[in-house]
Amino acid sequence: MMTTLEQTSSNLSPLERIYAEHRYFIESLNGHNQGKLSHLRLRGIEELQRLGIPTVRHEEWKYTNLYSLLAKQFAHARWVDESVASHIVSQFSQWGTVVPVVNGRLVASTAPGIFSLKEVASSDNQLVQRLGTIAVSEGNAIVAWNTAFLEDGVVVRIDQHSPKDPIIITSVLDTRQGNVMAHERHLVEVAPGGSATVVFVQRTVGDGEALLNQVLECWVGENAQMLILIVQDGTANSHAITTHEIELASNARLQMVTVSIGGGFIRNMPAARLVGEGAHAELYGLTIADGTMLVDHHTVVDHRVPSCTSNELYKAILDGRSMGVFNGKIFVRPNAQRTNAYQANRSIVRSPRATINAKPQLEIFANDVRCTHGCTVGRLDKEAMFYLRSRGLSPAEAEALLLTAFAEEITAQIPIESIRAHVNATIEHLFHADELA
Amino acid sequence: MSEQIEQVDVLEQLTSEDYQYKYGFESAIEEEIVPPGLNENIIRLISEKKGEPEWMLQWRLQAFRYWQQMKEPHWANVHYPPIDYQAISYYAAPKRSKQPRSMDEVDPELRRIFEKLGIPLHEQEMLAGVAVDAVLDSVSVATTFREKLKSMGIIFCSMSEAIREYPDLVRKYLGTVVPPNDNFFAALNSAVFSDGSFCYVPPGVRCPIELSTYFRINARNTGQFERTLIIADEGSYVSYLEGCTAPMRDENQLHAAVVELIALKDAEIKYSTVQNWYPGDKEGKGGIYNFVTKRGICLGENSKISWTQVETGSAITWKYPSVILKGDNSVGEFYSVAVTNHRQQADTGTKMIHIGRHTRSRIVSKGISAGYSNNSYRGLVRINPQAENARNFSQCDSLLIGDKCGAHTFPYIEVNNPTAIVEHEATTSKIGEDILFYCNQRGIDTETAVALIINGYAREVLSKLPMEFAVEAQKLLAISLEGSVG
Repeated sequence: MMTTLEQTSSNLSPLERIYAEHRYFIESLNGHNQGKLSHLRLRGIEELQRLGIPTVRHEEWKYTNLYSLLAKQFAHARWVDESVASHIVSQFSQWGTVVPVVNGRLVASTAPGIFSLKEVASSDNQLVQRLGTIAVSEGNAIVAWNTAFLEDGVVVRIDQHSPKDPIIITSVLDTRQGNVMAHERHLVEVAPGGSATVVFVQRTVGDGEALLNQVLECWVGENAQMLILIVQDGTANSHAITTHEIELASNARLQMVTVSIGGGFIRNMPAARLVGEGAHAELYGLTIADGTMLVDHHTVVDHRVPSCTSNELYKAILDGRSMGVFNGKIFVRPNAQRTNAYQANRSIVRSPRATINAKPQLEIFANDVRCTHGCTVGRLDKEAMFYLRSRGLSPAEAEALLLTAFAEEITAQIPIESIRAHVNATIEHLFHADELA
Repeated sequence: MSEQIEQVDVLEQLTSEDYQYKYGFESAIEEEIVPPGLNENIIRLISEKKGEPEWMLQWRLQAFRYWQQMKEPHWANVHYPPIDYQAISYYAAPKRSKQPRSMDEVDPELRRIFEKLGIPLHEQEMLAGVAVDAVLDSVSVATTFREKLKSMGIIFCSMSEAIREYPDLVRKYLGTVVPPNDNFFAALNSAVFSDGSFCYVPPGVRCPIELSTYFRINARNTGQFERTLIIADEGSYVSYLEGCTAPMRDENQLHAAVVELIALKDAEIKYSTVQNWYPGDKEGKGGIYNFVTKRGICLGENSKISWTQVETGSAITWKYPSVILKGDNSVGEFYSVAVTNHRQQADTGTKMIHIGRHTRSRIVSKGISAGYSNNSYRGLVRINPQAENARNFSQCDSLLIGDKCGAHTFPYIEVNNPTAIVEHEATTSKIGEDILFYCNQRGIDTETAVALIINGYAREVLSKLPMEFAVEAQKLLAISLEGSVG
């Protein structure tokens, strides 16, 4: 069966290929296609069929050509070799509780309170009720695609009594049998007054190309706190499309730091929806790209109720033939009075062939608001360079120092020492490699 | 001080009674209208009526063929019922037997309209220093100051005349900035454009007066398809004013104009607009649909194009005056105040395309939304790979009055060169309670205070307008926002 699909699928269009994969996926469930998940899967594939895969003619995908990525012909990951996870787990174990997800399947977790979506889906776990309500397929082809292949992911509920250890969701994509694509669906609920830290990392095993379609649905209860760290420091064959949708109840607080300093094609779509009064969201992002890397951040901060605040800062350093995209949307819904929203996007272009496309976007329907955005694109300050040069630094050293300082404004927002150190070391290495070259 | 008195006057006017659209009157001039609908025969008819040469007809037909293959764009943040392009009459001209030579020959009814509008078409022209190419519906009926301009070598006439008398110039430049297949509305305009203004300033000449055209839409169910072409030859300077008012009416009217500006080496073009077309009534009934393509090209080195606009009218505004900065060291500017009230919708902004080296652009956009209106800024700053040391600064501010309106910002920034410096900032806020309190405390009532604040807020743009326009624009701002506070 598998071989026939492999043989015929090379001539198919990306969408036809997805349908073929989907049929095969549904068959392979061996009749375990009932209940809530099956219903969602059906809706997902129908919606994907209706929307199609977004092309550059879609406003949201104007600068990011998904078709050129899909030309790599990813196969829906069907095999899982859990043993590949073990040495990767050890890399991150000092950061917190590592939860490895190999090719979209959760490897049996020993940590208490962390469940596999596959296992709890059939039970009447309350959390499963939230599935598909925060990240909805309707109108969103990527979520629809993820939902069509809905199978597994991490389900976790954190309350005041839960261990404070960060949860490290480690996506491992095994490409030793060819290019793979994996769909992950995670559900996180932070109970009122709780405090949670979730870290996302991604690793690719083998020389093939790997594409991760990750969707997170997260609910942060009243007075709860949520910290999300996304460390994208993979190899050039690691590609990712992430959709992280977070709803914040009253007085809840979200801090999200995305560091995209390695990988091939990266598209992040974080969305913070402020649905309770007094909620606060902070989104930070750092992009350091070289070669042909593409990093696309499409952020949404949605002020739905009065008296919420948000702050957003995204920075990028682009070299080689890399491309950075930033689209930051701030919505202020009718009646969301006393909103205070701030957004800034700063980019440095270092090479004549690198590109930045920015679109900070405000859509405001209330009058008692204070919304500001700023966007700058430029190069390193000549005076600062001169200052450092006059103190005996070589041009490369001076540049590396200034760039590190530029990046540090974001990395300083990572409150976990071990992760911050890792990120800073990687960045230093990137700039140092530059210096040597 | 006199300014303050002026503002108080305006405010008295708007507080005293329910303000009705000031320029809402219809004039009963005999018009010649072609049947509604659009096909090749209609285009041939328009071309024939205007006595155009064959190449112009072919150009129009080609544009029509492009248009037939295009779809109406819907990406803008505006909503309106579908337009039936076959229900529109594409040509209306006041009947006349011969070209009037002096004011006496002009229809007295027509003169009365212009007087009502305050257009100085008589001897006052001289005092006002304005040469008016008045466009009533589609055909230019009177053009003044021709002799004086002619002596300096400046050509300022209607487009139809230019096609007849200066075909070489028209052929050389028409459609070079906005090609007929540029977009849906530009294609439509290219196919059916009725008239407009043509201006050519020869090398080294500084046009001594502000050239001006008054547009009026006067016949029911006729779209206005103006075509304006301004060419500033090497080292020349020209300032052009465009202003418009339209009679009140209930049926939506389509307006799809095209304006092309060409600045050669060391030349400068300043283009100012005060747009005050009928915006529809309070319920959003009626009003003009304004789909305009305006674009300038800084073709030569050190050239400069500056757009200034005050947009208060139209039910729907879809307008992006742009500059292509092709020559090295060229400069593009865009200053805009857009006011929307009641059910008006505006989607406006600019495009700055940096191609040449050391090119600079500056964008200042001030949006004011009130009532149930929606006001969007949509702009593009693109730095092409070869545009070394390009510089852009953009500022777009939005002010909201009332909690039922919307203000939106869609700036696109595309940078392909590492030496570029691009800055963009935007703010959205309401009129601060503390500022209002400060004014109230000093005996200024809220409505007056708001007018003061609005004028201060828009000052940066208003100060770029020629003097006579600035006064009108200030009044317009206050009038447009009538009844939206308190």
